[in-house]
Amino acid sequence: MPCYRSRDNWHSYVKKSLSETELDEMTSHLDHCSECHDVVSVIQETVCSLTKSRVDFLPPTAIKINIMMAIDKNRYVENSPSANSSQFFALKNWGLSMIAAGLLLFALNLTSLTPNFKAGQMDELHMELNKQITIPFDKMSQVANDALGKIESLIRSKHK
Amino acid sequence: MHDDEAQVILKRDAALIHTILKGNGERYDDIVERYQTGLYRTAYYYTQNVEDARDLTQDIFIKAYNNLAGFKQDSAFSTWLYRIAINHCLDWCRKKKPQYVEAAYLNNLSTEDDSPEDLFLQQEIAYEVQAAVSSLPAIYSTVLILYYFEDFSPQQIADITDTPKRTVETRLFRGRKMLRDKLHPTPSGGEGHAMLSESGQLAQLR
Repeated sequence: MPCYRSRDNWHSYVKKSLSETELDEMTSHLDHCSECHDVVSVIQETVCSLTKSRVDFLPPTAIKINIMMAIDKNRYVENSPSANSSQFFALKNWGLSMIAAGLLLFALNLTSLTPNFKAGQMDELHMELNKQITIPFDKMSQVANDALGKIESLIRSKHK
Repeated sequence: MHDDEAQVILKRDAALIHTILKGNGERYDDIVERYQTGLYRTAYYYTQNVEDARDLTQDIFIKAYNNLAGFKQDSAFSTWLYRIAINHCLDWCRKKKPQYVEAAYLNNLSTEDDSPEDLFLQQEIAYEVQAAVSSLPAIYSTVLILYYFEDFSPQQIADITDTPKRTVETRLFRGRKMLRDKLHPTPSGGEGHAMLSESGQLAQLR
């Protein structure tokens, strides 16, 4: 009489990679089911014969040398906390601030908000506004650049 | 492998990876040392020649190192590493079909008691088996390599290949039958086939 038990777990059973309850239950099933017993025997015999026929190569020593030469050993150094703090000051972070400042300047130059001005008055106003706006930004930029320079030189001296 | 032994390896790998991710990249050579034999053998089963197996093994380790930050420590490192390896080997098989098959008369780790005849016989059988395994469709050869040669359980193979465990069990049954058919002696015979006769070691693959 054929056994209708699922064959899904017999390879796991042979490797003993099931819970203790499952292993016990399957072991007791094997005691009275010759069909499943044969299945397990065949798997076990195959494991034995293929393990014997397995070719165990010794990998060439060059493999390790080549790998260690190819990888960037400092790849994960930047993940350390000290390196993360220096990322905060990276120049790319300042790029967004500069874009925001540019957008602000552009918005202030919109003429559509002042339709009643004559052309000459508009130019004068633009010049005056530009002067007033660029002065503080120039100063801010200068101060920021100085600060960045000092921070980077500090970081470099720390790394040395 | 016993559970205790597996736990020790799991913890040792986790500690090593933690050290590497802290910036100590030199320690990666311990990982290479630990897994290179298994990965090289696995790559060889796919490529069937030592040059490609060596190149594949190097690529796999480099890829694993570059993606190490993405390794979630809730699974075993070996499972994660073999997932990269199997995907890489399958990609290789899709892109570059082997032009030739090379016999694996290399460093078969046999006992010193073996006579030269036994050694030769073992190498012959190993060559027959490796050729038969690699000639199977990739979905079957992969599960057979991982189960019989790399000692992974069906659940681990399911994790590596991202396949349901039930499918892995089915493929193991079918793969073994296909392997048996490949290794079964043919009526035309010949010396090589005689080794696979019923009295031979591979007759156990019935």
